[in-house]
Amino acid sequence: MRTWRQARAELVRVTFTDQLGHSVSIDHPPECSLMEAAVENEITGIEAQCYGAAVCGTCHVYVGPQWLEAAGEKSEWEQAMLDALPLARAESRLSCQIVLSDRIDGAGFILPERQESLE
Amino acid sequence: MEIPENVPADRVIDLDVYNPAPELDDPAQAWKALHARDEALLWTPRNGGHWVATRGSSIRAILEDHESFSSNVLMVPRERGLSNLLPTAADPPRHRPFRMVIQQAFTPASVRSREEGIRALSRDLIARIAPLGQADFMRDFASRLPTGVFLQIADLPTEHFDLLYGWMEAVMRPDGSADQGELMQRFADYLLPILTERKANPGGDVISAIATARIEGQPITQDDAVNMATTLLLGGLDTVAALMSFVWDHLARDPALQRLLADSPERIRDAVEEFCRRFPVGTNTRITARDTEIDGVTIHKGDLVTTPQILHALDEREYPDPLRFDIDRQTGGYSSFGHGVHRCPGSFLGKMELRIALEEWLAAIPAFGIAPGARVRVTPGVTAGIFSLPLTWPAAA
Repeated sequence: MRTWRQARAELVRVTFTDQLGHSVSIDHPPECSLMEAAVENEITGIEAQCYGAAVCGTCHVYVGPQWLEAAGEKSEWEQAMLDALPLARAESRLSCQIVLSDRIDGAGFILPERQESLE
Repeated sequence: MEIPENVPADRVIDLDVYNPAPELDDPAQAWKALHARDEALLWTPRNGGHWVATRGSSIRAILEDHESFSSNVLMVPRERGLSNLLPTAADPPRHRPFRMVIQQAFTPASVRSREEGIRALSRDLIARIAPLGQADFMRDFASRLPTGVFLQIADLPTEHFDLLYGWMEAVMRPDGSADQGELMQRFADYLLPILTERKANPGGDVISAIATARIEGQPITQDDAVNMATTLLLGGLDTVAALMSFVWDHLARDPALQRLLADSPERIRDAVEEFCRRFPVGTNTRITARDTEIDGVTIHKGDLVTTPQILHALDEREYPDPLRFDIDRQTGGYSSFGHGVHRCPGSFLGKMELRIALEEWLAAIPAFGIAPGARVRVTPGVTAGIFSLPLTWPAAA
């Protein structure tokens, strides 16, 4: 069995920055969603009301431009959800649909001004 | 039974997904044996005849694609499809408003506010059995914790505990003798007066949220409200109990893991993730909404497809040495809570219940084992679990 210290070396680091410019970096084991990592680390601003079903729109993030490709493809469903979010922009994603992996190790995400739940 | 023309003969196997290996105490090896074949989609004539997704890739693809695979049938055979459950059996766009009502009770913020209540409940249950040095884990703990948590979330009196507990026993009864229709009627008879009362005097609980919901601008109908509340009962009680039964069975046979988690409680979160990967409890069903090609075969509109979650967990293409519990494994991506729009709204709560239960149990009972001579059997079914799990430990002097 590997030791805890060795296991920690495989953590993925991501940074969330809010609209006031405050940043929080977290280190989390990979393969879960970015949303789950954010919730586990109690990132204020990720509500994740539906916790991963991509039906509520409250885990919305803006992806730094250099990380958009690494964050992976959007499904049609996710795009339709984003189209319905008032604060969404071209670089918007639902963090529950981004896999936390070494591809986004070091990536930065901007939190929107507020999360708005779709009815 | 006759094999449909779109099923290639070499895809046909003889498998009852709700009882894959009646001769085995633990069907995990029988499930794993299906991976001797390369295909990711097979077909069985049992339970009315249906496809079975056998790999992580096909299970994920089917559950993520709600346009091709409808949730209008949730069990095989289709006569038992549970097609009234809400929001579970509804497809988008009808699905969303119902889901939004129910999930308010399960947001991470809402669940976190319940942590101390769940911890108090766990401590109380453990305090009753710890001095005895023995317990039946399912009877004395695993079935009681989620029932108690449900009573809290639904703001129901603790006197209802025995009633709900009895139903859970019926749902999980090893011989499968519980009559589905009769059970659904009992749920409805229980829930309707409560919904009616909460509609008149709503509180902050999930039953009140259902009773007073507006769907597409209209007050929710009585039938829809009953179906939503029934789904909550069905989804949140036996699943958590079943998961915990597998976890404690595994722990009871692994003293090194007991020591690791008792000495390093901060590792319980990692253990919870790997337990959720290794011990999924359910099998989902979908009905094909349009002809769809998967894994080189065409599934016809109207065909039923099942996705036994354990076949993802045990797929060596996804997880090396998959039968082994490995707390250091990169364990994400599993299908234990489903995928797509119907992904379990209670997964955050369920994982928290498991974590708190482990923390409190190991603090009080750090070393325990299976009772000598006990025969431990996995009870197969729509939800698989270990119905009777006798444990022993050194009783306090």
